[in-house]
Amino acid sequence: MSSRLVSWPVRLIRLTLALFVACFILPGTALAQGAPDDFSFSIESRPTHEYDVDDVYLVTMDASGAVAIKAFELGGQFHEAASLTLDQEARDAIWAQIVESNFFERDSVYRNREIYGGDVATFSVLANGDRHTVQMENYPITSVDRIALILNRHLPPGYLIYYNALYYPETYAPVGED
Amino acid sequence: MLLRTLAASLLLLGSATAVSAQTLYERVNECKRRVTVRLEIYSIPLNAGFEDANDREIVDPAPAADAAYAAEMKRQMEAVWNGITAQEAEVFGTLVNTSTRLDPRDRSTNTRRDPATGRPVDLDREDAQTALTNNQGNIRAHWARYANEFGATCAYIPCCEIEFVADVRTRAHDATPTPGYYQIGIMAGHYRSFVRFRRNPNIPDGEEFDPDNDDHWVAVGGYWAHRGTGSNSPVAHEAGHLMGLDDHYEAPDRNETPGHRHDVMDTNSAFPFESGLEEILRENGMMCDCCPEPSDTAISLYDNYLSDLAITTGAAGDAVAACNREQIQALITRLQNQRRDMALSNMVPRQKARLAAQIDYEIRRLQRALRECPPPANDRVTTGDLILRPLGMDLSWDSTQWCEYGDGQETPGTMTPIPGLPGIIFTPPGDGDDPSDVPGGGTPTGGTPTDGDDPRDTPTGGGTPTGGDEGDDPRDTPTGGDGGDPRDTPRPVPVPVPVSGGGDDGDDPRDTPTVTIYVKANESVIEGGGGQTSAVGGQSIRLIAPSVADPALPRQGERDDTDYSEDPMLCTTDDNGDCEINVDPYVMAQLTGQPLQDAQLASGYQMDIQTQDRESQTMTTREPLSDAQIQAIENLAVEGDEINVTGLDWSVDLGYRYRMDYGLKLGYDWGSAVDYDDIEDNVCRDKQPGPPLGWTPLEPVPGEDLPRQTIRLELE
Repeated sequence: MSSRLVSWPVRLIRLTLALFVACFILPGTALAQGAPDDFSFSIESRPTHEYDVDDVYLVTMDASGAVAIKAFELGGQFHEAASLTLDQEARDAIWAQIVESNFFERDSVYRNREIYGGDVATFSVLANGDRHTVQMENYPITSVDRIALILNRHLPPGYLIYYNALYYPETYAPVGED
Repeated sequence: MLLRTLAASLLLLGSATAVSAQTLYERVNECKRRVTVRLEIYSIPLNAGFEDANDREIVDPAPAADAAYAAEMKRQMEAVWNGITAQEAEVFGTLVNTSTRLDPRDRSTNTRRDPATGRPVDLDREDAQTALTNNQGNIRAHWARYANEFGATCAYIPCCEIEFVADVRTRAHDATPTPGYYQIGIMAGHYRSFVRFRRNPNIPDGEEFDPDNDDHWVAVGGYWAHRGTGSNSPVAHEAGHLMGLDDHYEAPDRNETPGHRHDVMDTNSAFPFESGLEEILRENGMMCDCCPEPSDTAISLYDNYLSDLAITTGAAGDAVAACNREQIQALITRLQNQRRDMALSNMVPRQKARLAAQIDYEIRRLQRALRECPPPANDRVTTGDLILRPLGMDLSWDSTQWCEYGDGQETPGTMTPIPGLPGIIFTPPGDGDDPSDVPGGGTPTGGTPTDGDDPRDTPTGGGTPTGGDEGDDPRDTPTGGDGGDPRDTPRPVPVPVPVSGGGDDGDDPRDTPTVTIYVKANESVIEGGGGQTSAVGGQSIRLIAPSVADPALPRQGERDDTDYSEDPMLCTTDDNGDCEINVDPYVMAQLTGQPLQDAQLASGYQMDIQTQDRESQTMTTREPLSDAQIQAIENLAVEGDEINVTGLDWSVDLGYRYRMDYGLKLGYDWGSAVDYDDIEDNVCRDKQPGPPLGWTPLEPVPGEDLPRQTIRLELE
C-alpha cells in the first residue's frame, strides 16, 4: 500500500500523534533519560553594587559534570576555590529542575525596583546546543531558585551558593513571582 | 535616587526641625545639627518553604535581634558617622604613625620588595585588604583618644557640628512594626544588605506612579546582613542610605565615583566623606551658616592656630635640619604651650582634636630629632663647625671684642665646647685666667689649663658650687657674693657701662651697673624664614641659666653649675614687641661668653641665637676644594638652594641659605674674610668699636641683605 493510499484522516491522526509525542512524551523521555550530553551551566551570585568585590561567587559545571567553584579576585580575575564532580544522578536532578522552571522560556532580566543594594543571581544554561541566561536582581523566582538549592545539596560546606532570594524570599515579597 | 526619595518623604516642620518618617533632623543651635535615625530591628526566619530538610540545615540562621544587638548597631552607626572622616583619616593616619597610613598600598608604607630588583611591589589584594582594615582600625583607635580628650563626639564640617544618633529598638518577627521607625530585618552574614523602598504614598494628585521618578519612592527599611562587630559590618553604610546618600563605589574594575576609595558609601570598612555629611544637611535644608564670609577679614581661631602651627613647623624643619638642640627644645616647649592654649580656647572639640593631633605629630618629630641629635660633647660643636671641619679650616678671628671690627689680621683660635652648653665658646689666647677653664678633671676645653689663678676656678674634684667652701681658700666658689662676707670671692669688676636703670642709684659702691639687653620679639624668631615678621606684644621673655634648665645630676659633680641659683631675668614686650632686660655685666659675660674687658668669662647662661636667612654666604679658599669638600657644602643645601662653584681663584659662592648655630656667639667676626680660608659671618648690625655690650638685637627686615639675627630667648 502506497502512501498515496493513506487517507487524510489517517494523516491527521499521525500528525496529531507526532505533536503529542513531541510536546509531552519526548520531554518526559528526556527527563527520564537524564540531562543532555552537552548540559552545562553556571550560577553566579554577586552584590548588585560592587562595593564588596570579595563577595562574588561563581559555580560552573561542564558537560562532564566537573564543578569548579570560583571566587572573585582583584582585577576581575577569578581563582578556583574548590572543585568536585557531580554524578549523573545529581546532574539529572538539576536538569529536571531546569526543565521544571521553564528556564529557556524565561526573560533574561528580572529586576526588583523596590530594592537598593542587595544582590544579583545569574543562571546560564547550555543544553541541546542552546544557551540561555536569566539574571535576577533581588528577584525571587522559586522554581529557578530551586536549581541552586538542589546544587547546594552537593556542594561542600562553606561553598554553598548564597543570594538573598534563595533563603529569604520573603524579604522581597510581594514582588517575587513565579 | 535616594536623595530625592528621602527628600520627598520629608515633612517640614518649621525651620528648626525636619522629619521624615524615620529620620529626625534637628537644629540644635546655629552651628550644630542633630540627625536621628530610628531603626526597629527584627530577626527574619529562614524560608519556611524548604522541600528538603537538608536545605534548611545547611543554612546559617539569622542572629537574634535582641537588645544587645540593637545596642551594638547603635554603637556601630554612631561610631562611624560621628567619627573621623575620610579626609581627616588621610591626614591623621600619617600623623599618628607611619604604619597607619590610610592607604596600605601607599608605597611609602609598603615594605614588600621585589627580591630581584629590590623595588617596592604592590600588595596583593588580600594583603592590601588586611592592611587597610588594620590601618583603619589603628586610625580609629588613635582618633578615639583625641576625641575622648577633647570631647569630640560629633561629626564636623566647616563650620558645623553634626551629631548622629541611632535610635534602635527591637521587635519580634511577627510583631507589628512601630510607626516612625525603619524596619530592618537581620539576615545571616552570607547575604547582601539592602534598603527597601515603597511607593511614595504622597504622590501628588493627578500624577501617575513612575518607577523612574525618584520622588515616587520612599525608603521604609531594609534587610541587613549580620557581619558582627568587625569593620565589614554594613550598618554604617546602610544607615548612610537611610540618610539619603547614594553609593559611591570605586571598585577596581568600575570606577563609578573616583576618589571615594575610603568612603563608607563605597565600602563598609571606611569613613564618612565630608561631602556626604554636607549632602545630608543640604538635602534636608539643615546647612549651617557659621563660617565667616570669604570677604570677611576676620580669621577664625582655628585658622590662626593652623597658621601658628605652620610657622612653628617651618622653624622645626630648619631646626631639625640643623640639629639645633636648643631650638628644637624651644620649639617643643612652644608647641606644648600651643597645645595647652588651644585646648582652653573656645574652638569646637573637633577642631581641637585635629589641631592636637597635628601638634603632637610635630612634638614627636622634634623629640625624635632631639634624640637623634646627640647632646654636645667634646668632639661635637655647632653647625658652624660642621661647615668648617670638613673643609679643613681653622677658626680665626680678627677681634676679640664684641661687635668690633678688628684689624683684619687673623688670629687662629680654637673651638672649645663648654660643658653643659650646647654651643661652643671662642677661646682667645690668654694668660690662663680664662673663666672658661673647666674644673680639674672636667671636660677638656682646649683652652688654658686650670691653673688655679682664677678665683672662680672650682676646686678640683669639687661638687656643687657651694660645697666645700670652708672659707679658708680665696679660690673657693663664691657663696653668694653679697659683699657682706670678707670670705666671699669678689666678683670681677665689670667694665663701666652706662647704667640703664635698675636699682643702681649710685649710692652704694657695691651696686653693679647693668647692661641693657634690648629684646625685639617677633614671629620671625620662630618662623625662621625672614621677611614675614610681626611684633609680639605681651610676650614674657626670660633668660635662664643653663644649669637651671639643665641642672647637673648627682653624678655630674664635675660640672660647674655656678649659676644654678640665679633667678631668671624677665621682661615683657610692649605692643611693638620690645622690652629691655637689665643684666648684671658679670652675668652678661656669662651669657655672651665674651670678655668684658676686665671682666672675665665664666661658663654661663644658656642663650641661643637663631641666625636668620641671608642672601648669600661667601667662602674663599686658597686651595682647590676637593670633591668631598664640595659635597660637604652641598649637603648643607636645602631644597631650592643653588650651589655654584666658580672661579679660577677657587672661590666658592654659597648661593644658598643655611643655618649656623652660634650657641653663645652673640656676635663677632669669624675672620677677616679676605683671601683667607675662612667664612665670614657677621651677626652684628653695626660692627663698631664701642661698649662691648652696646649691641641690640636686629629686627629682621624683609629683603635686607645684611645678615639678620634675632635673639631667641626662652619664651614662656
